[in-house]
Amino acid sequence: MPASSETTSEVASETRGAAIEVEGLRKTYDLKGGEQFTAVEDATFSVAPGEFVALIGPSGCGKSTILKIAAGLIDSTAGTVLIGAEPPKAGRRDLGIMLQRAVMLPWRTVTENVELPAALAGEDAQRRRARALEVLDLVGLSRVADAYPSELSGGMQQRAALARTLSYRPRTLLMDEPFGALDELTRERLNIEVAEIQSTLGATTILVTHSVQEAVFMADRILVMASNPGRILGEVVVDLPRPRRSELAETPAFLTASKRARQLIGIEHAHD
Amino acid sequence: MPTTDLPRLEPDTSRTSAERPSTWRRVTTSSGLTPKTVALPAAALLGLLAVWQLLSSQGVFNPIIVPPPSDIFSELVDLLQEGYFWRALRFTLLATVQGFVYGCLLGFVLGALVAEFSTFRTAVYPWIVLFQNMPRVALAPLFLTWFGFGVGSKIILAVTICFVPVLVNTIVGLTSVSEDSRTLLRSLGATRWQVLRRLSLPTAAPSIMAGIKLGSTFSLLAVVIGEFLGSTEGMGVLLTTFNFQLNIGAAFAVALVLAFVGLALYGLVAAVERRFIFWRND
Repeated sequence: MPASSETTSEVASETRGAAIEVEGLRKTYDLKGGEQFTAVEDATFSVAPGEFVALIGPSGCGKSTILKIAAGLIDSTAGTVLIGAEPPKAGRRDLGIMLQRAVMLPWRTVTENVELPAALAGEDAQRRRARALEVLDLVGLSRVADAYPSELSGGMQQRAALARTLSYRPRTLLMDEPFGALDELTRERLNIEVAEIQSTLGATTILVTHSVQEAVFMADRILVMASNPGRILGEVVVDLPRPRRSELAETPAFLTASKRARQLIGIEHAHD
Repeated sequence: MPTTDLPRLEPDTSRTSAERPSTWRRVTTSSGLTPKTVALPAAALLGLLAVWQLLSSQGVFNPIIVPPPSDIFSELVDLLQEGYFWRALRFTLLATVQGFVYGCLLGFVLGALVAEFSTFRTAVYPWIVLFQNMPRVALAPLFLTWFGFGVGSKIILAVTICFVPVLVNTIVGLTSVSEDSRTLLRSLGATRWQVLRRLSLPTAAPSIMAGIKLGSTFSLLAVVIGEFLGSTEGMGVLLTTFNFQLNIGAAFAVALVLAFVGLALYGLVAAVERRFIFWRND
């Protein structure tokens, strides 16, 4: 298979001056009875500045673990992760994370939720409000700025979460299946919008997803992972023009990229 | 162009209009006072009183043991003109409010410590469970012995009984914060104090308020029981005294006043709750 020939070391060597560098990353958990579970084994890859990389693979392949380590939410067992030449740390202002659930605080209005990162950093109230309104406009939520999250649909809540993440202009975006809980139509629309916002802002992005369609549609490059132990099998470069439009899904280039990603995942399944 | 396609509000507003009464701005819809909800209970009460009055006038009830409503009412009117009644009411109210306030503070502080510090939790949790499940009024005679027949023993009994629901609900509320929201705040670099203030406390607030509402009912109950057992003053003393004098009408009247005191206290707490807690945690 041509796809499988692209090993992880080749993936690592091809970028210089990367925004995100992951080398020999390993994460194990101690289980009951002295056994160990390897969530991630020897993951090595890098992401160029402004690049959009999708991590895809079956559940338990460690894709979320890599993202959480990069976000500074959990520690790695071995290996190095550098984001903008610095090690991960929770609360870094140059790094934004989006989770599967929007996690809006129900007692704060949409705007107040978007202001939360700035409020935690003790920023001036007027300035942070102005910026919140600006990003709400960017994600198309100006009309519901003063509403409470309970009044918003799931898709709108996720938009608000995106606005919250973008509110402090992070240079790196880490997204952990941010649209996994949404319906198909909303998901597709948000894919288009997020891809567009990402390329406008030029943010270096890692998206964790288990949807091949989503990965191909949004990413410049897809890293395909396998589980047990979690590892990177190879990569698929998505050579599609931006801005990405929904019509792209029917083009040969899109289908080829999807097929290659599926093959990479499928090969692993055959060996299971 | 897809990006200019603004989110459509229509389906969302239809969804939330059904949710709104229980989620936010509950204030506008929660009183539920319609002609029907006022008139029906009033009619039920009047009906009951009419039957009672009728049965009394027919001699079915012994008027000494079960006085007719008209007697209770006139006793109540008389009582309201007596200085000793107002002194008793003042004593009971003072003990209840102090016991309630101290009890809530104690329950809240203790609950926050239990929820935030695991060593402290391990040390005291079994004793909280024990204390929660014992009939705490059993301590009343001891408190009388230790703290005398004055207002002090009533306050302490009220604190003892009222702090437990506040404590338990504070613990439950503070520990029910979702892992996702903790992760979010951590990823934003929130300090422990910020997590408590910006996330845990607001999340716990509805639960804590429910505990406080229970506490308000409990503290009045505790004070009256304390007064029954031994007190220099108070509504409980008034009630037992009238009872011994076989002045059942006046005893009824005192109980009636206590019912309104309890309702007022609860209503006050509920009003505070409605003012500040307009959301529902999902």
